[in-house]
Amino acid sequence: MNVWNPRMARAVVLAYLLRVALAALLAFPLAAAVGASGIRSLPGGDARLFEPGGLYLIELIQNEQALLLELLAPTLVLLLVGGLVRVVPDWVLLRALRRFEDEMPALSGLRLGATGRALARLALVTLALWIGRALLLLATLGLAMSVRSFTTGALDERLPTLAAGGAACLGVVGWIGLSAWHDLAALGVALDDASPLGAISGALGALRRRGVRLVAAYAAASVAALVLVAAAAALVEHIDVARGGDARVLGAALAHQLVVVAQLALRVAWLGSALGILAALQPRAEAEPLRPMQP
Amino acid sequence: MARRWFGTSDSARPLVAPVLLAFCALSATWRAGADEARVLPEADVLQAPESVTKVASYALEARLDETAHTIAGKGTLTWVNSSGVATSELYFHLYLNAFENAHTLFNRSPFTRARSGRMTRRWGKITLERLVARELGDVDLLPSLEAHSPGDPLDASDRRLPLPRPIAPGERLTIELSWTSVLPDIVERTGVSRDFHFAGQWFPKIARLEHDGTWAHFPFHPHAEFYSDFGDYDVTLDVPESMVVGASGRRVSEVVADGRLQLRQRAEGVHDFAWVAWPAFERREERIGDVDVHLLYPPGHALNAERTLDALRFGLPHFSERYGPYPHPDLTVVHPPEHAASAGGMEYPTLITTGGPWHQPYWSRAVELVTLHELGHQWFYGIIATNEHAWPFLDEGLNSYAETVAAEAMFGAGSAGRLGGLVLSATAFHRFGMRFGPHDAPLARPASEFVDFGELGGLVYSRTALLFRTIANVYGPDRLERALRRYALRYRFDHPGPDELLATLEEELGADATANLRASLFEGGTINYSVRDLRSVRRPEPAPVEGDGSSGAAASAPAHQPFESRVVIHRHGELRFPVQVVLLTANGERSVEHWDGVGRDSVFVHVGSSPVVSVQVDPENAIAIDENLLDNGRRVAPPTPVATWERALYAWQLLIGWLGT
Repeated sequence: MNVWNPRMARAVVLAYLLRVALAALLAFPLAAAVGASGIRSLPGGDARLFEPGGLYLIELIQNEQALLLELLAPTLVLLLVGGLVRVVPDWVLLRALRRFEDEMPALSGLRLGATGRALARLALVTLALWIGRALLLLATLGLAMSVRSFTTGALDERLPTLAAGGAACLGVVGWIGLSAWHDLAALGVALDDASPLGAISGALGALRRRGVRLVAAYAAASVAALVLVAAAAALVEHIDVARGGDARVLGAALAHQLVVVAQLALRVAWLGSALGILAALQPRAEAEPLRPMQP
Repeated sequence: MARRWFGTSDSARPLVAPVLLAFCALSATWRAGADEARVLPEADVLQAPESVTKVASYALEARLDETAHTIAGKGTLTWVNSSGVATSELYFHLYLNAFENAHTLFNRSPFTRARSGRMTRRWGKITLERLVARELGDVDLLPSLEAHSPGDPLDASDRRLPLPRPIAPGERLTIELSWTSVLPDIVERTGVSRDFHFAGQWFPKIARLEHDGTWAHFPFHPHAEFYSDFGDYDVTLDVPESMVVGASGRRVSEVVADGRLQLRQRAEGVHDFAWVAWPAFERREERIGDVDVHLLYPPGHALNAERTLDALRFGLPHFSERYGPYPHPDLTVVHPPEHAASAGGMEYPTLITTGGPWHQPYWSRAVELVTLHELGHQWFYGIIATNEHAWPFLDEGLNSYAETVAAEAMFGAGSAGRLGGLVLSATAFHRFGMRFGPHDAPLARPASEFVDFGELGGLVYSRTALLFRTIANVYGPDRLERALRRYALRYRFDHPGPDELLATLEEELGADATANLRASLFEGGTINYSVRDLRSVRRPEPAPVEGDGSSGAAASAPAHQPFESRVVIHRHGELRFPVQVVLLTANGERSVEHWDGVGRDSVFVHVGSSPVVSVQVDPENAIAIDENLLDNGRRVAPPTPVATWERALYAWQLLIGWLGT
């Protein structure tokens, strides 16, 4: 389903800007710790952290070890909070998938209330995703350790690792399935105003009926995103910020931010595919799954 | 050299005699100046293993019982009193007794359990059954053997044997031995894991009698390694036919009969002998230069095997060129299986063990680094046989430096690893390791005096490597290489101590360098350069020059330099290295100053058209042992760490995205 239109483009930009703001808040403690370390007093400044050899990177980590460890716990908490707050830019994208504009004024109490409820529902769906992932991780680890110990007496040492790797692959498939399910549930909340439980069960139902196609579409977008990350890493290595100069940092920033924008675009493409796959499930007489909000 | 003169042309012959005379004069002057220093051998008359003075030679037979995991051994030790003093006692190292129970010196402390940190679950021991010296009338000496290590009734790894009469200097003893070794499970180098058997320190080893008549004997401490005399080893191993065996030395014969495999190995001019037997080894044989390399590795490790051979193809010529030719015809390299990993990362003369999982990532240099390190030990330990118990820095520290040099020659800046934009060097790795010990503790002390293996590793391996890296950077890498080569050739097949090392280094590097080495090695000396102050003031305009206008004084007055900047560099610590200081002004002028490190502070005054806005001490990081690199610079207006902000922002963006989908 083609979901690209000016409204979606504005939504991607807004979602990107919201993510930048959120990430900037999260990055502040680490960047402040680095700034306080003394590295920026050296000629070349913090670009020296990226010099081949890693001498200054190791030095900073060792000198600031206590501070970095202290920052770890609050950073993880911030990350989790950030992961929940992230539903705001996600909401922007999801709402842009609606086929028509909302009729209510943007800042009306009713609209704000509905938005608030939807955001809360999205946050609950995200929490459900995290719980699902944690359980999946435990199950995958348990399976990997079991098959590994079962094969540990094998003469060829590759066998236990490969067996554990096989279990990990199952875990990856499960991870993709969980992620796809989450996105389908988010669509249900954003487009159908479904309750969290309703969205979750609706998403499960969709996966039962079109699981392979949906998971394949999600996996394709994920792989494309990973390829972009790797390509950006190679490009940034070539740019080599350690050689100094604002232009290099700018070049690296450009490459990285293009990846973030592209990831948002890939997400939109996947959600569009999912809507198309789900729309094909609907009988022609019931071809309008997206209902306008009622005043 | 003589051959070259005989080969000169007719036109050059008139010059031969005076040049030859001059050379002889210069040589005599150099040799006279060397006083007691030993003459360096020319490459083609380097001592070979066959000509080494053999002090302790063994002819042994060993039968492996693969079910009971025991070795029944017998044979002959031929020992010569090579000291200048008669001795009435011998000391034997029965190191497998370190694994006899939980109360031995090796096992008794839970805080100092060597590298693996584990206690063995299957005990091991070595029981002497026969000890007869032919020259002493074939008297059974076993009843005289003291029951435990001196001063430690709970340990039996270091045993004194009083003799019925003194053994004079130069006198030989032929001692018949028989014993049974029970292999423990492998927690530290030697033992059994499933059907993998590694025999290290498996036979009764006589301790070394030093020139002054003192015995270098010590119980098996969890931090310490070994020390013994050179000799020849002729060892016949009897193992099940299914076993694949690797051993020190060269294989002389191999016979299969009645389900058993009998192998005879001979190693000349070595001070230890180790061997391994496992039915599942795969083998690769390769000739690298003049050395036959025998690589044994577990199934599934073909990639590791290729990487190991790559490291050996580079390392053997690299180390030989620097520290003298590898003197033996064979080198056996053993990669233990994962369940016997504690046998890995170890050196024996002509046999080394490496290790690591089969899935070593391409970006990690772990396989190559451990191979280069253990190969380097063939020189710093195998050929230059220092006392590893008393002076671990002489082998581990020097070898860690040599390994770093080799790794950086092989891999450049990414000598420890390279993944995407992250490039880690072995030097950075050692700076990380250096912090595992207190920064002001001496490096040159016995292994048993370190608090734990972490401290020993941090100081003896990493800090010593960085100390020598600093010496190389400051005084010249070529000079240090020449000095180490001189040391390696001078003490080839010998047992030098710290004084011999430092005296040799001083000949090439000078007194300042060795003063720094002594201070760091023996007194825990440290150094930290920092920028203490950077400030600038505007200088007042000078008063106009008065004159009658005809003298041109006003016109010739120097241009006013409006800014005066003062930079103060501080040196903290006992070491003193010359250092560069780079000043940068606001208008981009760069000036390089030098400080010899004398005194605690050095003040640099810069007068110019713009103020100094940044200063850095030691911009090339020559002083690898500097305690803190982050205080080596100062800027008037430090910029925002934009590179860090950019990376952190990107990382968080990715993480946030990943959390939600």
